[in-house]
Amino acid sequence: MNLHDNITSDTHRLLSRQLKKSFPDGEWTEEGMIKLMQFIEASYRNTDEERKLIQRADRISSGEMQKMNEELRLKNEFLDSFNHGLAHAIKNHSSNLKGLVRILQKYCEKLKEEKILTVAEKLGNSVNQLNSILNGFLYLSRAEGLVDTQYSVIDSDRIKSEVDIEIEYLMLGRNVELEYRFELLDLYYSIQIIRIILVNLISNAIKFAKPGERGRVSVVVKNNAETLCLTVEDNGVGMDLENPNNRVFSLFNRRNAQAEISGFGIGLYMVKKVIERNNGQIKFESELGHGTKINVEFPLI
Amino acid sequence: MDFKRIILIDDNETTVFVNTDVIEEALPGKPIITFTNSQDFLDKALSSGEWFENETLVFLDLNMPGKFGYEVLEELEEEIEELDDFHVIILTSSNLMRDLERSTRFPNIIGYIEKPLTPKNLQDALSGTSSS
Repeated sequence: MNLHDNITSDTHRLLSRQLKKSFPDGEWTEEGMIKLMQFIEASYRNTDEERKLIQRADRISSGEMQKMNEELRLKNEFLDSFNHGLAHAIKNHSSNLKGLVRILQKYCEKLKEEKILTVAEKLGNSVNQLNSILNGFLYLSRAEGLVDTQYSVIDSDRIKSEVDIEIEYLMLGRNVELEYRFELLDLYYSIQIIRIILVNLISNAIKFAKPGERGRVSVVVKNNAETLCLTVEDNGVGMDLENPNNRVFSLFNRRNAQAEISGFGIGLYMVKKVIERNNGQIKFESELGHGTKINVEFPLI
Repeated sequence: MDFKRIILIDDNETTVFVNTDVIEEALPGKPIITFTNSQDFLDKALSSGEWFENETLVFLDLNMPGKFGYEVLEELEEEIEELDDFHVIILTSSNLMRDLERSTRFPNIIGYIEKPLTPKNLQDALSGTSSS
């Protein structure tokens, strides 16, 4: 029995009881009619009051919901600009560090002091990683919607130079070969989006190369009128996609806890955010021990 | 372009130190004048006027205490009639769209470099191939 039947049968029962009360002899009387009309009028009044009560409760709760939503939105906005401001402030200093290390390396080379030169090189790598993490934070707050994305005509040289700057430190001292293939046709898109996706996917491919083997990372960027397609394929350690614990997109989740693999676990989270925001799609193909292929597609409208 | 002098304005002393080194390397032999306060620069520049008479390259930070980078440029535009020889490269950690867009309003700005300044992005900016 559904709610509707319930109400109807209840109403029915009430009505027949009232009919019996108003017309106890089963005959229509004026007195009985008045009683019946009063009953019906009272019922209407009751219903009306109940309806008003429900409406009022509804208004109050939706007002409270709106207030809570507004509070949440403000808190999110605050967190966004806080992250952005913090990352900016630290980045100023890490940029200085980077510059200082460069000068240090320059003079060390003149001095031919091997030990100091090694220290300077290691310092340089650390600073580069620090910068990369900060760039990640900046992108993250942008990906969360703080800054508008800028669109322009993009060619292969632009993509290659923007990506290379950010990953060159990762390539240092690693036996990894990076290869690009471009099939671009009047690409009009955001270089920021392409950079975030490629830098993070390539960084992962480099970091998860098989130890002791020559790593190969191939990057394909192509587009037609409707779709932009970014593919990064490696011959690295791969991953078990069947394993439910492999939450590759979670924030601060490091796929591989090995100490020698650096990273903060924000990379793929960022990739996911950017894809969601731009109606893109991502596909993984991977097998433990047999490398990973990641394909990202964005609609071009 | 043959610059007579190079001026560096940034409130952070370490940044000034690092950038001086990069500039010395990229443009050897040019006198470099540095300021860590935008008002000091304006006072000095406006009192002599000499810097506007021949080719000058200026590296200008945007976010500084006191007068911001764009405010410095606005004041120069108001005070100086002939600014053709005054070439400005914006050097900042901000790559916010609104900052980048604002830079297009000033004809003296020849480049926009996101920090840190390196020999490479300096060369790119000077040869007009700066992508940012």
